[in-house]
Amino acid sequence: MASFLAQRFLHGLTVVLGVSLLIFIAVELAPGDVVDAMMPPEAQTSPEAKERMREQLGLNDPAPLRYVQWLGRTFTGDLGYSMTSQKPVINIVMTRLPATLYLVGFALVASVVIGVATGTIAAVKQYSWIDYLSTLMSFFWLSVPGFFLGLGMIYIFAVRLGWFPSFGATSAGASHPAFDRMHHLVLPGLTLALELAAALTRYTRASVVDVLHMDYLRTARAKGLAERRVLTAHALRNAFIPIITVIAVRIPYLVGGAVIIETVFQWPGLGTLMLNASKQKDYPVIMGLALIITILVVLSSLIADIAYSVIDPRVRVR
Amino acid sequence: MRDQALRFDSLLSAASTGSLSRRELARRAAALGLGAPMIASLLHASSPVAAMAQQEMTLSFDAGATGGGGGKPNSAATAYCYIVNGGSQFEINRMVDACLITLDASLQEFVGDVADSWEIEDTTVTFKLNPNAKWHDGTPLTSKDVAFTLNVLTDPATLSRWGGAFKSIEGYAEAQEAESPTSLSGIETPDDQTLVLHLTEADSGLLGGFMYVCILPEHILGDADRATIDQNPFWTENRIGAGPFKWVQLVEGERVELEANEDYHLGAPQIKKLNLLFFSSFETSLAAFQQGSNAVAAMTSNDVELVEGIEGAEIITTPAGVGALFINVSQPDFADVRVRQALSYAIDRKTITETLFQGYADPVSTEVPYLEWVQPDDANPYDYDPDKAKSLLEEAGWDGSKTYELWYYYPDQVTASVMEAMQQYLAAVGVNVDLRFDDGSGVRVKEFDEGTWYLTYGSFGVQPSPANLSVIWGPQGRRTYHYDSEAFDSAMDAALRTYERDEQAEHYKEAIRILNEDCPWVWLFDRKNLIAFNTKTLSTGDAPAWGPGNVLYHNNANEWVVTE
Repeated sequence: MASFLAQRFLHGLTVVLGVSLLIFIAVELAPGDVVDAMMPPEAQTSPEAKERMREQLGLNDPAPLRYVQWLGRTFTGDLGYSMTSQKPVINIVMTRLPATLYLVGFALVASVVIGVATGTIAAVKQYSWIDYLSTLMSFFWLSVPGFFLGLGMIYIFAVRLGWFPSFGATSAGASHPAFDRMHHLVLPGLTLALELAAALTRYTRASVVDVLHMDYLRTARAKGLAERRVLTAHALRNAFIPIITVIAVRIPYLVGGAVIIETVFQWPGLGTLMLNASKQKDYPVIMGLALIITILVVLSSLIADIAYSVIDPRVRVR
Repeated sequence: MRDQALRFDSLLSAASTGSLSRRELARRAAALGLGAPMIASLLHASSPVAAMAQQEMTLSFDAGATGGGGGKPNSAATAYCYIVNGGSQFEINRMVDACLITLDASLQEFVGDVADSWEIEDTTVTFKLNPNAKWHDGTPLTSKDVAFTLNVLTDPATLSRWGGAFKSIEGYAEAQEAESPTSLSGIETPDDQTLVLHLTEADSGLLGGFMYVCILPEHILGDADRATIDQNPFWTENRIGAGPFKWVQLVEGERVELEANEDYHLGAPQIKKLNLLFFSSFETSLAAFQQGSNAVAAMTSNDVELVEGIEGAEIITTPAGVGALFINVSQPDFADVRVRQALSYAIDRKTITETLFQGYADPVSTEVPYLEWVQPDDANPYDYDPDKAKSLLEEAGWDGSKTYELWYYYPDQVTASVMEAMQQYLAAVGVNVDLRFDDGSGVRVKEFDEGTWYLTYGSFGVQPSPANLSVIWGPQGRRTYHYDSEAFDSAMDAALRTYERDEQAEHYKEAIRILNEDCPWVWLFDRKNLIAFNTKTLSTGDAPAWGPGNVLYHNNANEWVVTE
């Protein structure tokens, strides 16, 4: 197990380094820089002032040097300063990270609970009205784009019914902060969760239906086990193996989806930060964020690998 | 009886401030022999909901559509130092900071803020400061703070966008060559309430420069390194201003929380708690407005019907800057004035403003049309006349075979429709353009730097002072916009050298008339920003409460009251 973990960890590290280099090159190839973004032609800044600014921000150093400098500092936890808000990137990211983890974590748990439960019921009650309804709803949630769903949720549940706040993660001066946070989480969390839940419903249903027709289940039933026991102890354990892969593969999408959902709901997480930083060409923030998001994604797939190996020890054998 | 009334008043005040519990309040009211309706009203005044309604207000602002090259560095509820670039966080500055002088929200008159009065005589400007002005930490705000602010802004190490406005103060030229920290020899502070500026020559544009300047606290930032002053934690953590509201905290990515400055030199604010939200999407901002979460929200002309349907909602318009077709007059194809005039005749401004802008823009043909006092009466309106456009192009020997790039950078749908309409109007007279949207990638900026661009649709923003026109059309703007007119330069120069407003107006009118005839740009639409405003919850008094986002106009925020 230790060598398996070490191997996976090294894989992850290589991916993180590779991604960081790719991001650097992409940012480098994009026309214009932060000075152009901050000082458009309408700002009437003299070329000398722009040049002084580039010099001061270190933009005139050769690109490979800036990459190496950035990487070196990164290992010490120093991601540099945001060029627009002048705060340390690590501080900005760390103040925003909990909101995103909170949102993505909620969405993940909610989607697994909804998706796996609905999928399993649909499979067990194959061709019943529950099965047809879950199929219909799954396709609906899969087809509706996240931002549209978000706006629809805001319109119905915030504006029309007034049940939930339409934006933000907290209210100023809330008397019950914990409740206030949950209250704010419901709409963006469910919006983000529904697409994954729909996908999981489909996969779980297919997987459970496959397993239910396996010979070893017939054997289990033949030896007199109760149907519930057949299902929980024999069928689902095997049926969930591919589901874990699906969840692991989908986590990056969840983080990506959070960028859009956070914008719609004005959620103060990494997504809105990423969007604004990209608009402003705030390189240190873009690179710092990309790195953090890459690490999150690599970590989540590492966790999935471990979970997979626990459920099915054969994957550890190479 | 009088005694009882007095005691009732004191109970009422205790109720609204929450200093007595509701049970205690009822007990004392009963002891006073008050009737049930009186007791009920006291209890209502003490209820949390009533207290909130009297004291707390949430306003939201557009965090700025940064999709285009006109992008300002702003993001949801993030406070920045205004010195280097500014503009986008002026909503925060207006509430937290104090200025020396500002303009009223309609941009027609200067109003004093920290300055009680000012006198201008030839090359000497004397300001008298309000002795009650204090920083939020209790330190008195003096003329030395203003001097410090001017020195920071004009220090080349600061890279401030606003320093150039003070180039007429003695010592400015020397400071540009000196080591930081620099100080201008022309600034004098004979006492705490008097600031004297000595100018190298009469400069009527000087006061306009203060429209972008908040006073900085010398006792906090005095020792800060000027080159990195914009990175000082002061801006986001230890924010001390002298404006109507005190900084409480920045909730990163969400809002800025403020509280009333009870010592505000123009009178303590009525609103005790103020939250400023900055949305990056109009949809979310309007949904929050519809829900009643905030009293003010940015909107577009597509949302008019929606906002009109909300009870108590009113639509306020403020100048958004003139939408104009920028022409690179240094390109030989556009060097002939007849070609540029033809472009002006070719576009049907009236139809576009009525249909695409839904009336929320006026057709115009001159610079700064919202500054009424400098508008020439005899300006050519360039009413839509495609035949005239064609004949002018023919006279100029126009070769219609080429296609020119026409850049635009506003990401909204209305602009996209306007661009398509303009493309068709221009094609109808034989000027073919390809539309290119600037997504902020920097390609347009590069073309501007290299002078290879042809046409751009955009805006110079709202200019609070006609003196700013020389920034584009005078020697300063020549490198980017290539316009060169001696007649214009001398009219502007004459306007800057006189303090007589009528005389100034005559010279500015002449300068604007020259531009109108020369058409270095085609001025098209006096666009408006639309703001949804809930009159049921907030009253901002008689003065216009909102002005253009990029100017530090005076907003009377200390007089605003929560009405529901």
